[in-house]
Amino acid sequence: MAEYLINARGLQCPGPIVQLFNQSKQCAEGDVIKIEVTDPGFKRDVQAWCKKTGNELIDITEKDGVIIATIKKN
Amino acid sequence: MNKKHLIIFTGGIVGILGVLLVAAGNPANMGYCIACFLRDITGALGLHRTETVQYLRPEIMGLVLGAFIAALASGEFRAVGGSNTLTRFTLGFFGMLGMLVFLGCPLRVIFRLSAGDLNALVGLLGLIAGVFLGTQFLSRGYSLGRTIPQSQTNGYIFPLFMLVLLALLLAKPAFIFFSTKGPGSQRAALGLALAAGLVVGILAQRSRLCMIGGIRDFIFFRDTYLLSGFLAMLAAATLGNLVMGKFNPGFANQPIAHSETLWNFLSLTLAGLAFVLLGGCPLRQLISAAEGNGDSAITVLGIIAGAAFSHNFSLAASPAGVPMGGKVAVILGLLVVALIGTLHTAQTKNRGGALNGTLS
Repeated sequence: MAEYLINARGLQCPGPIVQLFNQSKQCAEGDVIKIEVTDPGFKRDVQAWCKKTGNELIDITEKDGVIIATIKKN
Repeated sequence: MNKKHLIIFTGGIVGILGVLLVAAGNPANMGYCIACFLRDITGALGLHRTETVQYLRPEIMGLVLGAFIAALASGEFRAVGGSNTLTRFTLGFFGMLGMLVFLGCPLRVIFRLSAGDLNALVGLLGLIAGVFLGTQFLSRGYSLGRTIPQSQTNGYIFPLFMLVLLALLLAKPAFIFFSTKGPGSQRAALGLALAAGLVVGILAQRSRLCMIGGIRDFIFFRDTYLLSGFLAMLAAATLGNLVMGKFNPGFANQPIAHSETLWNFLSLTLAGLAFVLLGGCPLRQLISAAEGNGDSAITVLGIIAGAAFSHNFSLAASPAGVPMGGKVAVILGLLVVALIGTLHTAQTKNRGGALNGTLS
């Protein structure tokens, strides 16, 4: 199982979710992606994306304007 | 109210307000057209001299000020910028050329459709084609890069600019142009137009309403969140037009529209491609500028420059049809915007995917 970090700070919609989408295509099942985002719309986007794709949103937190989401590829 | 309900509510309100604004005096099928209203503002400031489309539209000022207030209240106001600004200006410029050949923005596509204008259906197909092309760049890594924090002052300039425009509208100084005939002379009452703008600005900021984003997200992820707002808008506006007796299905003799199928399609292909590469439709650019995003403010200036260029060089269409210059502009625009997409995609790849790293 590999873990990947995407630093999507400063990227505007749809940059962060596209980064996540493209990274997930290269991941194997069970791999974990951690993504750091400053676009406030990402919170809803990542939840919807995980629901649609069947990937698991393990954790999502926000601190000092940075949203950190951890996703497990299923 | 959860987010899904909020965006459906927002779409419904925009649809109803669009019909009401037309009933109150705005041009037909143009209840709330961002491209048309920015074109009118451009004319009012004397940046083009087409006498029929000059007016400081209070809907735009209300929209920006409403979104600004909502962003401040929710803590989402952030002064950012510096992400390929000139590219954004250029994309806004060419997107506007396309919209003025079609005669409307994505919002007006919905309003025209809701009144039975089938030329808008052709435009919608063009818009979808443009967004589809744009998603091909996105999936291959296209990005305009990161924004960085800016001085708070930078974020306040755009909302302040709207306050200045509002003051000019109230004062009516001699150097501001006001149409006495044509679409620019057709206006809902100032208070109603401003209030409608404020309401839509607040709701659009909270829901992130964006038609380009809606089509993009559906193509990319089959996500219907943003799209549902526009379906609600179409339903509400169609119902409103039926009630008002303004639903006249057909291609011919539609208000402020032409029936040149190829150019209705290609012009919105250009707009769809340009705005998906920008990350959102003209409405979204205004909202984002109100939230403190200097790049979006520059995009709006690009749109305004596009309006001025389009009318000063007779590129904009009219109900009589699309001038030869407009057709050339659409073809050139498609080439330039596609080139921007290609070069930015290649350059993102050349940077070696520096956005990502492996933890283990």
